[in-house]
Parts: sequence; C-alpha cells; structure tokens
Amino acid sequence: MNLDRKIEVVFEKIKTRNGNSPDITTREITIGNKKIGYIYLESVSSDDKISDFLVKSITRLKRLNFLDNFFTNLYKELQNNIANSKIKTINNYDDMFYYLASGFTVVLVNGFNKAIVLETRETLDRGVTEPTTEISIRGPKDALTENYNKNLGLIRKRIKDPNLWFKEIKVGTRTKTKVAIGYVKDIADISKVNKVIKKIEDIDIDGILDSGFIRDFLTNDERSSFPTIISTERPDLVSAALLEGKVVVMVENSPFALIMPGVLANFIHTPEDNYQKAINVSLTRILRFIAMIITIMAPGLYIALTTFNQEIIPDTLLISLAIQRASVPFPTSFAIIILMTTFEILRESDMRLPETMGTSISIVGALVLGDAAVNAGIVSPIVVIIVAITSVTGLLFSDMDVVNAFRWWRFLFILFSTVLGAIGFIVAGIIFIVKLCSIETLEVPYLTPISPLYPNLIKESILKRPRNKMKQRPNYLGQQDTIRMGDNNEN
Amino acid sequence: MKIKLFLILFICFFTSGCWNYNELNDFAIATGMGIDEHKDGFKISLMISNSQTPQSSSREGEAGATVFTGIGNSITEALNNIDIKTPRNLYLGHLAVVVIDEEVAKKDIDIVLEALVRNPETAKKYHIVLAKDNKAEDILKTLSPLESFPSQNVSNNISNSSKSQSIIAESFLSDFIITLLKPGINGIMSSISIEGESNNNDNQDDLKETEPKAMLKTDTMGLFKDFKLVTWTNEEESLGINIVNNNADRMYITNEVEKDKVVVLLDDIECSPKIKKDLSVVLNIKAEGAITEVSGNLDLEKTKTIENINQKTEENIKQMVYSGISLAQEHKTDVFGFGNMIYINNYKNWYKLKDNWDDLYFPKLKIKVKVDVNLRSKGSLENTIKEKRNER
Repeated sequence: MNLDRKIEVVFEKIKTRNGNSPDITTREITIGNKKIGYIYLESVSSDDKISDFLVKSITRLKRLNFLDNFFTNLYKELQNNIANSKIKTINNYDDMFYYLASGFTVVLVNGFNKAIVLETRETLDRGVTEPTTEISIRGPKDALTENYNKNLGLIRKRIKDPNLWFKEIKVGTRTKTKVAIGYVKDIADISKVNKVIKKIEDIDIDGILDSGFIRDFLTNDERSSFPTIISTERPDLVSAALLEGKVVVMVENSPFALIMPGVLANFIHTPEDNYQKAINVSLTRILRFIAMIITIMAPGLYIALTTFNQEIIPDTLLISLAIQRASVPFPTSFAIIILMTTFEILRESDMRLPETMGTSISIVGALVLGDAAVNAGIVSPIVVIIVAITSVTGLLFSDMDVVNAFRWWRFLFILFSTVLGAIGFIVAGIIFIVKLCSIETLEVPYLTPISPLYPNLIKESILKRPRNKMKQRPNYLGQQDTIRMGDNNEN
Repeated sequence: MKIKLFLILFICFFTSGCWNYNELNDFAIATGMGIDEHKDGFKISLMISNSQTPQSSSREGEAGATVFTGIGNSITEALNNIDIKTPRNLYLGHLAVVVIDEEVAKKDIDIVLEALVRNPETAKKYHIVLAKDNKAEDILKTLSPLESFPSQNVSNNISNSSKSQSIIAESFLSDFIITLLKPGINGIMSSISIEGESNNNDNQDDLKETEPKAMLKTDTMGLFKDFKLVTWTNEEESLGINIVNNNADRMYITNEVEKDKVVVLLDDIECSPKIKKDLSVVLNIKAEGAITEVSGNLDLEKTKTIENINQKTEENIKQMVYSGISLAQEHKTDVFGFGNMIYINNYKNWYKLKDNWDDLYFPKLKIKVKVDVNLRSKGSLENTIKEKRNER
C-alpha cells in the first residue's frame, strides 16, 4: 500500500493499523510553507539521536532556505550531515512498519508520497559477556550476544578476509528476522552453502525467535536423537569452523550460532581443546570417548551380566553382589530405571531452578539417591554406583543435545539387555552403530572420519595434533582449498 | 498398524523375558564341591557361599558359607537332593574347586569326571584335588582365618603351594581331561589333607583363636593310571616329577656342601626331553637361581665354592628326578608323557607300542638325566657373616 501525500492521513493510518500503540510518537515541524512530520517508536528509538541528528538538520535547512525541490534537498542534507549512513527512502506502509519496529525514524514531507527513514536505534541488548554454557579456562572469554551486528562483528574482527561472506535472508512473515549464512567463499564447498541458503529461503513461518527455531528446518533428522548441527555461543569456535570450510548460520536476537555440518567427533570436542597442548588434549579426548561408551552402555551391560551371564563376573564380586541384592525386591532393570528416572528429574529441576535453590536440591538428591534408597532396601548399593557413574560420565560433554541423545540410547541398551541379556546388549550395539552410520548432514556421514575412514584425520579428530602439524583442513567437507598452511613453517 | 505390531512384540517380550533370566539373589552360588563315597553311591557336599551370616545386615555385603550335603546313586541325583534342601537354585557356574575323596579315585574316577564335564553350567577351569586321609566334606568345611570362604581357601592353597614351591602341580579339570584324552600319558592330581584335628575348625568361632586347630596342607600328588589312583608321591618324588613335566617354577633345594647347609632357590627351571631312536630318553635340565641361606663358614667369594654348590644342586636334582621316575616306573604309569612324545615324533612306531606301553615298555625305559645349574645371585650378602667376621 503506497504512502499517502498528507502527513495527517499517514499519522492516522499508522496509528489505527498499530491499534493506537502507546509507543508510537508523531511530531510535526513547519518550515516556511512546508510541513514536515516524523514518526518513531519510542520503545526502540533513542530520543537523543532524533533530536541530535534529525531535528537539528531540519532546523538548519530552514535557515538555508532550501525550499525548492524540498524532498531531495532534505534527503541530501540528512545524508550529508548525519554520520549514520543508514538512510533510505521508502514509499509504502509495509516497509514503514518494518523500519519503525527496527528503531528507525520515518520523516514525511507534506505533499510527497515518499518518506525518508534513518536509523535512530536504541541499543536494547547487553554487552559482550563471558560465555555461560561453554566455559573455557584458557581460551577467549567473549561470547555472542543477542545483537546481530555485534555477532557479525565478533566474527569479522577475527577473520579479516574479504572472502568471508555473509548472505542475509529475512525469515518469518511476522518477525522478519535477519538470518546470516556465513562462509569463506574460497574455502567452503559452495554446493553445501547453496543447499543451506535454499533451505533457509524455503522456510515459510510466522516467526523465528532464535537459532533453535531454524535448526529443525536445516535437517530432516527428527527421528534421530543425535544432533547434527553444532550450536555454539563462542565466536572463536565459529571462526574456527569457518576456516575449516563449514557453513555458519547466525540468527538475529540469538546468542547461538549454528555450524553445519556436524559429525559425532565434533560433539566430543570441547572449546578448551583448542587452547591446550595437543598431547594432553589427546588423552582427554580418549577419556571422553570412554566416557561416552560408559554413559551409554554401563547400565545395560550391568543388567546383562547380572541377570543372564553371571559366569563372566569374578566369583568374589559375584558373591558380594548377590549378598547386596538379597533384600531388594525389584528386578535389577527396574531398580536401575527407578534410580535413573529420579536422577534425571533431579538434574532437570536443578537446571530449571535459580542457583540459590540448587544446593538444596543436590543435598536432597545425594541423600535420597545415595544412602536412603539403599537403606530402605529399594535398590542395592552397586546399582547406585552404576547410575552414578553413568550420570557423571554423561556430564563430560559441553553440548547438551548430545548428552540427551545418549540418554535415549542408554535406555535402548537397558531394554534389550533386560530382555535378551548379553545377546540383547550386542543387538542394541549393532542397532546403535547402524543408526550412527546412517545419519548424514549435507552429505557428510556422521561417523566421519572413522566411517568412511580418513586415516590422516583420525589423529586430528579423535586425538589431537599440534597446530603446526595440521597442514590440511579436514577434507571430508569437500572444500575447494584444503591446504591450511604453507610448507615453510614446518620444522 | 505399525504401532499395533510393535505393541504386540513389546508385550510378548516383556511379559515373558528370556528363559535364562535370573536375579542374583535367586542363586545359591556353589564355590566348592566335595565328592565322597557312600554306601548308596555318592555323598556330595556343596559349599554355598552367598548365605548370610546372621549378624550382618544386607548392605554390609558380608558373605557366610554353608555346606549342604546330599546322597544319591549318581552325581546328578545327589545334587538334586541338595537342591530340594535349599530355597534357591543351585548355581555351579562359579565352582572354584572340586575335592574328590581318595576312595572314589581309587575305584574309578571316570563317572565323576563325566558328570562334571557334561554339566553345561560349569566353567571347566577349576581346581580338582584329591582328599588324602580325610573326607572331602571335612576339607570343604575347614575354615582358614586368611580367606573369607573355605572353597577359596582350598583353591588358593593349591595355587600357592604350586607356584611358590612346586611341591604339587596345579590340576584343573580341563587340563586333567585333556591329559586323559592324549595317547601315552597319564594324569596327576594334587591332593589336600587336614593337619590337626579334623572335624574341627568348621565353626566361624574357631577362627577367633590365634592358633587354628586344623589347617589345610598340600604336599603330595596322586598318580593315576587311566582312571584309577595308583599311588601317592612323597615330596622328593613330587619335585622330580614336576621338574620333568616343566611344572616347577620355583623350588628350594637344601644342599650339604663341605658339611655346611646351603639353601638354593631355583626360579628358572627348564627341562627339555629328547627321545632317541632306540627308545631311550635324555632329559636336559637347565636351572638358574640364587642362594637364600648359608649356615657355617663357607667362603662364597671363591669361585670354587660356587661351583661346588652348583654341582651339589645338580646332584640333588638328579636324585629327585630319578626317584620320581622310578616311582612312576614301579607303578607302571607314564605320567611324563614319554609315550606321547613317541606318538608325536614317530606315530608309526607308537601303534606297535601303544597297547603295552604302560605295562611293558615304560617300566623298562632307559632315562638319562643331565642337569646344568647356574647360580647367578647370592641375595643381599656377598659372603657369609661368619666369614666376614673372621676376616676382620
């Protein structure tokens, strides 16, 4: 709908369409015979900027007496005098609403069916703070924020390369959220980039409020519990991914960037890994792999061994286990499920509660789970140990999604072991491996570099190599340029 | 439809479970078994190790042991008679030791071995020992202050005596059966007996005394001919047999050198037998070791003394080996497997010999023993204290 020529009409229409919103502010200034009006949303605009830039410029115009060809002159004057370059002309109502909501001020001149918009945005977000979910001792301490531009800036200041491209798409018919797809043009596989762009362009939704909303549109793996997209709030991780040739999606108002494609090995790494000595990190990574196996399989294995295949357990241990179990009425698997459910409930409540109340929960948890349950004869002590080690090893990973994925598989292992013992355990193991092998994102199999095998990458992704030895980028991403460093720094 | 099918499968599996599902507390875990003769067949005693001692609460995890006995015409029948006395299922999967009474072994051990091996529940790698001079039941019941349950006492006692002194050789069921199935070789089984008053020390309270009234002792081995126990060895013969069979890892030998006593620990003994065309056997025994005890004032710094000790040790070993061999030859049982060596090297010849090997050829077998001992250490002392004092 095109703009009207009369200021009063425009003011009236805007107010009615917005339901007389209390934050709409309209003003009128008369210079000579020209009436100038401006509109802004008080809630998102800065009064100082409006009075400093807009009102002063208009009063200057009055003094200069530039009254012929008034609209063009006004536009030029504003453009020349205002440092802020975000200034535009628009000619319809839909645009006007978008700019108003984004913190722009709309300047109308009576008799023209166009309007000038210039940015007078109020900063409505917090500054750059420390990351809260991915803590690192040695690495940089800045995190992405809700501010889209700041986020792009945090990346840009790390990669000062003209080939770092951001493609911006507006998603959401109502929210009109800016989504940036970032990639390094001469590294990333352009077909993968195009695929991501295509998927985002195809999204038809009323609103995107966070990168989490977009995530589900980028993959079609709703049947798999394993995450295939890395989400991070650390700009250093985002930059590292870009340099490897991955595609990054950043969403306005979301402090989490999405990195694609993600393989299982990526989720086992933590941000800290990048900043410590390679040989030590390698050991930690092996530990994390073992922890992954324990957290998924320990309860299932325990059930399989104690209820079906007792011959594997050393005899002294078996007798001690049998004595401990003597007064427990429930089947082992049931006891494990009870205890595990209790633990999950406690963990969930601990996460949702404010920190001040968290401690009381842990006291109750430790007492109820640990000692009281055993004393009351609901579970045997060894079951408490099993559940405890399962839960603790699950906390070694920085990505919540992958921890929650393990939970599903742990349950599957329990189920199969309960029914079929060691055979069931192996069946569950086969299903687990088959499932992992079948996942892929952007044509990258999930188990890369183990399957398909990239022998040179095993050292880098399961273990870690020193930076000066990592000459190549992980080439499973199909990059155009796989060489990371020249020859002369290898000594 | 899919969901219905899934539900049906789910219910089928979960209401039934697998056939061999068992909770640990449904088991009566047997760790030791004793087989005695009885006028109605066999008397079997089972040591159930997960019975609770009355004073311990469930979470302390303190195990007590109880011996159940049953009489039956066959092993299975006897076991079944035990089963009806216990409230739980008998579980033999963790059997650690089977004690067989010597009377059973003297008649025919075949029926016992057959029943033990055929049972699919048991692991086959457990100790099998003979009860000498005592009932197997009493041996199972003898408690030791060092072990938490009696059957462990028995099996650890055997491994320890075998490993540290080589007086007996560990005999496992699987190994014994394998030996039986080989041509030209007969089995050896170690034995165990009670020192002190039997029928004592079967009460937990007896353990509170500083000096237990009864203790288990392993010092001889029983030689078998086919399925029958034919003779017992004494210590010297045991050592000799174990050296030839390469079952001796460590052994102490006391020598008389120049009227002084020298104890030598041999810890690397290797015997390589060779069979010649004329069916005589040459045993090359090499041993290395250290001096552990010297009485008197030998001058150990002299090479001559060491050579003397070496030579004495060699003679002693030779003596042991010959006495072991003559015992076996006397009872016409080839426990060394010389026949088996002929079978391996010259099986055509073996078919001529095999029917009369034990009775005719083995007792007349000429065996030559060559021993080479090399002592490489004197322990923490260079010379004897007495000698050093004389040098002052």
